[in-house]
Amino acid sequence: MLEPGTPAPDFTVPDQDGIPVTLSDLRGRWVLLWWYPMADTPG
Amino acid sequence: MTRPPTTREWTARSSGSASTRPKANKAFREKFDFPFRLLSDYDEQVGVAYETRDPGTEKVSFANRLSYLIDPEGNIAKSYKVSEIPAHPAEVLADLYELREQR
Repeated sequence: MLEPGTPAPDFTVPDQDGIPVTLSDLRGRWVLLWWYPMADTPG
Repeated sequence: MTRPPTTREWTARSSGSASTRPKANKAFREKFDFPFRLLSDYDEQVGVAYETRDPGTEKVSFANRLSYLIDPEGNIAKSYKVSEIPAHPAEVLADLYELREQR
């Protein structure tokens, strides 16, 4: 697990509509990334 | 004192991520009317970078339940092993409020 203070690795992945999302484009905002096992599973 | 963000405001800026394809994520999002985006990490490269699977394991169908709060400068502010799913949003909001107050 990455530790606090570590630069968040940049990435580009598609959202649910296939639109690419790049983490570095969200600079200036707080961002929460939350992994879940797969769609339609709790959490 | 800065007002803490509401859950709605916060979730509008957050994202889930799974090894699921976009089409399945779209149905999942619509089913529960999530206000945040669901990202598809179907080749698991983001999961590898964020250590959401155990080191040395092959491609997995189920990522570990981890979350990361990332600050406006692009650094990890908080790392979580999510065990209490219903309580996790409130936990993150409390941390966010505290972190914002420290700035």
